[in-house]
Order: sequence, then C-alpha cells, then structure tokens
Amino acid sequence: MNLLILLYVLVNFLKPKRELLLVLQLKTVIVVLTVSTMMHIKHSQLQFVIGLTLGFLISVIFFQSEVVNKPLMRIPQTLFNGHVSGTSNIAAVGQEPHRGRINDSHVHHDDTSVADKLAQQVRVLCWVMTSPTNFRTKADVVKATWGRRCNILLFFSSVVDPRLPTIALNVTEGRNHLTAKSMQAFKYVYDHYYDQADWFMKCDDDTYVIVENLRYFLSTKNTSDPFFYGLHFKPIVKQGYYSGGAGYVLSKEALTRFGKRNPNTCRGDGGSEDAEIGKCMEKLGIKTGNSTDALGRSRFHCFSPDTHVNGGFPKWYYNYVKGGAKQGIENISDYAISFHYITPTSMLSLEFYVYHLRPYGIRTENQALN
Amino acid sequence: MAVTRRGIITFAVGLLFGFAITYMFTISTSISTRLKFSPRQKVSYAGGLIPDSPHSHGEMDNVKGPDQSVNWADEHSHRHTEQSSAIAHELAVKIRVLCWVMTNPSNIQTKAMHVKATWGKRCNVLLFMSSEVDATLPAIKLPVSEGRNNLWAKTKEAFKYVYTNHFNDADWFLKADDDTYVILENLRHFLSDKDTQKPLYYGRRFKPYVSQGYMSGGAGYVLSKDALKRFVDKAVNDPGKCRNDNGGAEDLEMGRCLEKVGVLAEDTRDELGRERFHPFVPEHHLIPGILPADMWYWSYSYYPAKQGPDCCSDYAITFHYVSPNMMYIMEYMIYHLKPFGISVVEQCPDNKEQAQLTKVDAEPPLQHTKQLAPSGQHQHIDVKVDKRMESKSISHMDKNVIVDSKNTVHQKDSAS
Repeated sequence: MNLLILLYVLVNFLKPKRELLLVLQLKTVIVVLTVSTMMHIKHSQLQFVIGLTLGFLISVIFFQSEVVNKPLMRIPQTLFNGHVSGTSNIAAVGQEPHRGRINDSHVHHDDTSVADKLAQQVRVLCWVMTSPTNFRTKADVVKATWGRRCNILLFFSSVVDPRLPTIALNVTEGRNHLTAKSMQAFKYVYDHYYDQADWFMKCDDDTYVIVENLRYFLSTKNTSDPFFYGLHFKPIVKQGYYSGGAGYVLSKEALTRFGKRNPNTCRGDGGSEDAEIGKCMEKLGIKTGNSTDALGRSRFHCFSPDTHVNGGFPKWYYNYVKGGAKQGIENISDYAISFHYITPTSMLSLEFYVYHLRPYGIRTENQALN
Repeated sequence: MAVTRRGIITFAVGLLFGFAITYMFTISTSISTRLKFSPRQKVSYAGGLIPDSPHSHGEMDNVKGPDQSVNWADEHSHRHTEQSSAIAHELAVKIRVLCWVMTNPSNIQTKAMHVKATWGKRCNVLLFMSSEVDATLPAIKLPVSEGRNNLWAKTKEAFKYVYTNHFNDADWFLKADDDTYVILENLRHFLSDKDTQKPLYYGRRFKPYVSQGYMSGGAGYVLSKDALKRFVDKAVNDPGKCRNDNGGAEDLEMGRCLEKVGVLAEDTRDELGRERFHPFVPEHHLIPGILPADMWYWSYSYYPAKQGPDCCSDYAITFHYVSPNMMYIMEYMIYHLKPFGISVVEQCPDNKEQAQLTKVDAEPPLQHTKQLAPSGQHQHIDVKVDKRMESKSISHMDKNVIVDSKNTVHQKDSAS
C-alpha cells in the first residue's frame, strides 16, 4: 500500500519528454491498484486486475515507442548524409546536423558573387526562438537548411542543448514566457554580438527565411538609424508592431537602445512577445518602416506559401495586417523574405524550390525591387 | 497474498488481456497515424506547404482548387530585360511541344482550368481530352465513355486525334493528367538533343510487365513524331499489338504497344542520376520515409528509386498528384520566388567535367578562379565555392578575394 503511494509520487517526477500519455497511464494503473487493494477485493480478482494493468503497462511502453508517438518529423540520417536510400526507414536523427542539405554545390555553376558580396556587406545575425521539444524536430532542420546562410546563427531556449547549440536563458518554457525570452535574447545578443553583425533578426523555429532576400532588403537601409522591420500589424501599438512568427529585424541602433535601456522601460514577461517588443521599441524611439517591395508586394509573411498564394487567412488577420490582407502571387514579392508555420518537411522542400529546382533558359536577373 | 497456482493463472490471464486490449487500441490508431505524412497544424489556416498530397486517384477525386482560375498577368511586374528568357523562348520556337491533358467533365472546373492557368499555357499546343465537349476551356469530346476503366480507350483516341489533327503542329507529344505539373522549359531542354524522327518515348520508367519497361502515365510521358506515327499507323488498330478493348492500365498498355512497334523506352535521368519525371509531389520524393516501405513504387521503379536530395533533378520536368492549390504554389516557387544575387548559370548536358564532380560526400575544395571569358550562349564559370558555412562566420569568405564591379571574382595574389 505504501509502496504504491511511493510509486505514484515517483512517477510524478518522471515527466519524460513527449511521453505524457505514458505518465498518465502509469498514474491510472497505480490508482487502480491502490483502489483495489483498499477495497479488499478477493485475491483472485486482485491478481487478475494486477495482471491486466501490468499487461497494459508493458504493452503501452512497447507499442508507444514503436508506433504511436513516432514523430514523422524526425529527419532521417539519410537526408543528412546525402546518401541514396532505397527503402524508407525512419531512423534517428543524424549525428551531424551540419550536413543536412542538398549537396550538389559541386554541379551548381551558379554565379553567387552578388549574393556573396552582400553577405560581406550586410552581416545578419539570426536568433531562433526554440524549446526543448523542438530541438531535434525543428531547430535542427532550421540549422540544416536556411539557418546556415546567416552570418551568425543563434538558438535561444530555456535549457542548454550542446548539439545545436542553444543558449539557455533564465526563463520558464511556455507560451506565457515568450516575452521574457525575447527580451533576454536581445539583451544577450547586444552584450555578446553587438559588433559582429549589422542587423539582428528574431524568428521562430517554424519560420523559413530566405537570407539573401533579407540582405537585399536591408542593403538600402542604414543600420545606424533607429528602425526595425518586419510584417506590420496595426493594433496594440500606436505605430504598429511586427509579427513574431514572420520574423523581425533590428538595426544596430535599435539593438543598442534596447541593450542600454532602463530596465523598467519595457515589460519583462507576459503578454504577447511581438506586441511587447513593439511597445518597447516605440518607447525607445525605434520606428517601424515599410518592407513591401517597389511593387507594393509583401516580403515578410506570417503564414505558409499556400495560405498567401491560395488564401485562407483567419479572420483576425484582416484587421491586423497593415495594407490589408492580400492573397495571390501578384501580392507576394519575388524577393520574399520569410514564411511562417513551416513544418520541417516543408523547410526541406522549400530548400529544393528556392535553391535547386529551376526552369531552364530563364535567366534569373537581379531585379531592382527596393 | 498467497501465491497459489490458481492465482498465477488469473494473473497471467489478466496480463494477456491487458496486452491484447492495448495492441488493438494502438494498431487502430497507428493506421491513422501512418496515413498522415505531414503533421497537420492545429490551426486551421496554417496549411503548410503541402496541405495534403494524395497517393492515389481515389484520394485526388475530391481535391479542389480555387473557384475561379487565377491568372496573374504580372509579366510587367517582373523587371526583367528581354534577354532574361531569351534561351527559353528560343527553345520554345525550336522544340514545339503538344500537351494533351487527360481530364473528364467533372474535372473541367476543378482541375483542368487550373492546369490551363498555370503550366498549360507554356505548351505550344494545349489540348484537353474529355468525353464531353466544353466550349470555355475548351475540351475535346472523344468517342469514349467516362470512368477509370476507359482510360486506355481515351488514350488511344486522344493520340489518334492528335495524329490526325495536329501532327505537323508539334515536334513532340506529351500526355499528362489534370493533376500533373509540367515544367515545359525543362522538357524542351531535355529534348533539345533528341531526334524526333527516331522512335523514342520518354517518362518515368517502370519495370514490370514490359521487358523494356513502360512510362508512368501520371508522371507524364512524351512521344517523338516517329513514335506517334508508329503508334497510330501500325499499332493502335492491330489487336495483335495493342489491347483492343477499353480496359487495362493506360500507361502499361501504351508501353506494351509501343514496344511491339519498336519504339524505345529510354533513360531520362540527369548526369547525376536524378530523375526528371516524378510520380509524386516533390516533398514525397525529397523526404525519406514519407512513401511507405511496402509501397508498390519501390519494386516498380526501373532504376533504383531514390529518396532525399538525390531524388530530383534541378531540371525536373514533371510531378504528379499535384492539387490545384499546389499548382499555384509551384508557379510561385518556380517562376517567381528567387534568392537575390544568385544568378543561375545553366549546366550544359555535354559538359564532361560535371561527371567527374559527382562525388556526393566529397567536400569540394575552396577555390576562386577567374571567370572564363563568355563565348556564345553558355557561360561555364569555374568557380567552386565551398558552401559549408560555419554558424559564426562565413568560412569561404576568403579575405584575398575581390569582387569587382562586374561581379567577377579575383584573387589578390593573381597577377591581374
């Protein structure tokens, strides 16, 4: 009887990641056992019940690991090594997430000189907000795909992960503490990377960023001006604020004012991360700016390409987005910078679409779209 | 508790029961989990890049697109010079492709219309084959009944129609479904060194039933002029050569027929062994594990089917089971969205050097050499850039490298 209570307490401390279902089941098992012992059920019935619950437990452990909770989003080793794979086998994630990319750079005779030049002149630090449950499923893929194109790539979370690696902030995980994460992350970036980049971008681990287009957009801006850029939302803040998921980028001046601010200027935690940063920026005199291209088309996007091309915006979006919600190819810039709610598998297919698949004979010229 | 024999039996029975119940429970949920290949977002508006890509025509039946076809007349908003599509335009004049798209009355508004609004307009001649006339699309009425059991009949009639009415209007004849997406520029590029007077037939090659293999219908296949002639003149009406009833899989029957009249099924992979014609959407080929291990596809592929980055050529020609929404996304991705500052330099198929660079795992050395003087249409730039970027610094940004105003890369040490 006491043993059962002890077990129950132990299980509460277990909390293995993504195994909440298992923990729940363990708890119910123990409760059943406790109750049945307390009710002085006949021995034979009790033995049956114990056998039943034990069988349930064992098979749950067995089957859960095999089938139910096997996330299809784990990137198999084959993708990272660029090997040919004849059959599908969802294996564990590759040991070297650095190499997860389409490795045909030796046959691409593409002329990247302009992009390379921009990479020297417009140095971008990208920091990605992530969480422990997403390290292996999402953050790894960000790093393997678009993340490596940033001049500096940082991952921020509540705990250290040596593989990505992540920087651990003094925050609790959860959607209610994203403001704290952002505030602390930018402070960290200011303290440690202020002079190593020209622009500082925040995004999520389900944001896909075309870094070359980000640099192109910023190439005509002055990083010593008090500005920040992103997908402009009208409400909450007088000058508007930027969608967190679509990613937003601070100039050096913006980062400096943020880093040097009086700690009481901005809210430390709670509220909506992007709106709180927006309020903060306004208080510090950092202005919002336009990021549509020369043809009025959007560059930052808080939904997936499917939603922006084909429609399906949620109702709130129509009231939020500056300039009104617009769908269709003619409203999206050729030099789009970001999309959001991108699953890891979609990130890989975006890599293919943006950097590999091409129509023969249509030369991609550098358009003047700023 | 006394451990009696009876007690042990009761315990064991209970154990078995518990096991059995959970087994049944998890198997039933696992079936539904396996069918999902991309995790659905909880929010209803976040569809992801591939909302739901089917693997069979049954799944495709109810997939709809926009109510109206969406036509983007935004050529004017592309600030391109005339030269930017010159090569593609030149090829379109030289290599005329007739596309006939297999459709049916119920798909005219839901699918065929979107084919026309997207890739269809790039064909030199575009025909929609149906069992009923449609004046607006337009669609041609073939003397066949509708239904999956009549696809072979439809295919025969369609090719006969094309041969009778359009033989001189094109050099190559492509068959596609109304859920196939075709990149015409890449098709023409592939065909540019092929002889249409020879009996040739290209597509995604499948192994079974036909000794030289046959081409997947959904992934699209293309006949040379001679192949079309042989098919219509010698094969289609000869029961000894072609199945003369309406049944059968149209692509398989086509393959059988063509083999009987000496049309050759060829390899369409690129220099790196990557396929150009695809029976599924890009994501399903790119991401290992999405196509189940026990799927028919693996044993049908004539060449070893690849998953992952090696699946698909940069100059891929077709994808299949593409929903109408997906077609518009692909239009945007392929013809609009670009990374600034990366100018595509076309890979020439006869460049022997490329074949030697095909070691997938080799890390190419870091070299910057002078750009070759441009001569003629193709510029082969001998710049091997190490794309491996450390997270903190761009390792290949050699400080000895200068990019001059013409975007030519030089090294400081070289005498220039």
